[in-house]
Amino acid sequence: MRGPGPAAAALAALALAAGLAGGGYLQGQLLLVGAYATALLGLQFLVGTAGLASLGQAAFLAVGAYAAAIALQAGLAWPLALALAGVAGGAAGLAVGVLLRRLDGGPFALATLALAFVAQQIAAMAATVTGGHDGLWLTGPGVDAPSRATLFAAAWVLFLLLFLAVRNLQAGRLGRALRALHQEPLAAASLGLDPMPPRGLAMALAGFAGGVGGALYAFALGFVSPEMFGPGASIALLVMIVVGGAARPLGALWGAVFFILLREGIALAKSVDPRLAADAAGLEAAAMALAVIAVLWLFPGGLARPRRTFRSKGPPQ
Amino acid sequence: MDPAAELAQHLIAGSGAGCIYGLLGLGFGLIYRASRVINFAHGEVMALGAFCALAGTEAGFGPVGGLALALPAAALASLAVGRLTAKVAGDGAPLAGIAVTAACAVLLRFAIETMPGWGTETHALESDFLAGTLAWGAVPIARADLAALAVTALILAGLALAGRVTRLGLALRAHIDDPRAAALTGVDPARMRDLAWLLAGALAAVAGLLVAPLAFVHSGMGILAINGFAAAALFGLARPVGALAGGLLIGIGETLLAAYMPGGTAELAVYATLLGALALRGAQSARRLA
Repeated sequence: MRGPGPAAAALAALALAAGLAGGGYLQGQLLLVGAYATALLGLQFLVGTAGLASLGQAAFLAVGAYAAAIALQAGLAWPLALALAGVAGGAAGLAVGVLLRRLDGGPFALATLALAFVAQQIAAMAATVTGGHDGLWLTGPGVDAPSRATLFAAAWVLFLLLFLAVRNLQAGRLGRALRALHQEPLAAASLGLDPMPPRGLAMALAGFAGGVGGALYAFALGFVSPEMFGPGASIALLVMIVVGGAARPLGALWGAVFFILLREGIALAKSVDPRLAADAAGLEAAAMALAVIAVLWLFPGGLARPRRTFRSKGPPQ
Repeated sequence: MDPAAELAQHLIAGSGAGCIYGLLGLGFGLIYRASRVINFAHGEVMALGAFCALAGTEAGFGPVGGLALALPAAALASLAVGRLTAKVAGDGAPLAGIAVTAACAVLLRFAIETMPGWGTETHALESDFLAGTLAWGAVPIARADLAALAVTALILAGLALAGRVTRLGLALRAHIDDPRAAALTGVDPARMRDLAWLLAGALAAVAGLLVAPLAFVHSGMGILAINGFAAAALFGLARPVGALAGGLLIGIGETLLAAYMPGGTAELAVYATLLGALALRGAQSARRLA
């Protein structure tokens, strides 16, 4: 097998081993990496293959997280709740894909940003189901919450499975159709390629991965609230995949690693130097912003660089 | 107050807010059409304008002096964001553009918060000219709302005139219409993109000054620009008048819903409407903006 498959598998195996051996802090952080990376895989497929810059991925994370929380509180076992979260996310993705089937470029980005707002507002207002601003707990008596080690293993196994699925879909018929629709819309239309089935499937996949990732995230935190899934979170997810590299599925992993490493690095710096800790949260955000600009400057196309089909001798045109 | 007067008051307040959203949407749409960048730093450029206007007013130069400070500051900040985005993300890369402008927004906000005297507190713009209310029969009208309406009308008329009469205006419109054809007739695309970012920054500064007496000035006020994005997109990004119409619709709708409906309905309605409008107009706008 060529391509990033073996590298990703080795990385994932390393993370799995480190997390199982390390326990505690390391396991918790790697669990979050796995949850983010899973959610980002769906976004990577949408952005990298279909060329649709979605600012609404957090809405699907919200659907998955709330579906899992509600299923758990109804007394379902956690693997069932996780599966339900994926199905709910996928259905939501398909519905949005049908609704926005004619949009691309800037209008698609703005429409999905509006979607993120709508989802957050619904979560806040439908208090009888979602608990409103108080949120929902995924722990407590009568709730089948997984242990962290179990959850950690589940997150990475799911990530690896989804990674392989996305990689195959991207190389196959669906991926070719989506690339044709994005890069050569006229040629695609003249071949009689209907945009709807591929675009709808891409959105469904984005929703499914987002739902599973959101549920894993909610399990890891033990809590869901509307504030976790606003437009800010959506923009952050898109920034993560751009930094990680939108062209290849491996970019999802790099994006998640970049985000968690940077966050923990800043937390470490704060614990070492109390003057930094005294400063407002603005410093942390500013450091992240600088890192994003620096990475995009040094690695155009993101950390997982797009594969070159041919070597150019001069500077890029 | 009787219900009719109350309704009239809400309508006027909504129009004032709507004009500010329209000004923000105008700049946002201008940048998008000229350089294909979705500028998430637009709200922070407005916040910078508002803080500069505040500083100018507090120094004793009045709102006009504040504007004289805010216009160049916001325009240059906007240009810097545009240049950096073009440098890092390259041309024709809307995806990286989103990431870079979002990062610039965070940096601008950080710069405002670390400025001595500005910080994270809320400030009020004290100005006899803009503060206070007039009475129109039983209806109280905030002077700031009237100012917003008048200034926006003037700006829109001025822009329409400049776009038809001046060489620069014609060149910018030609660039927006078809950058390649315009470049063949000697219109430098890089210069036109710079012009769009500068102009959008100046419009954001005006919006920042106008919004200061209506809401407080604080480092997080850039969030208002989200309504500006919605204003720009509601009737398609293609026409400046569309941004104003979208702004007015959002401003008035939001004010009425906030007054007569339970909390949260206004936000939900604005974004559900935007989502629906974009989906419905999809075929047209997608073709026009492709």
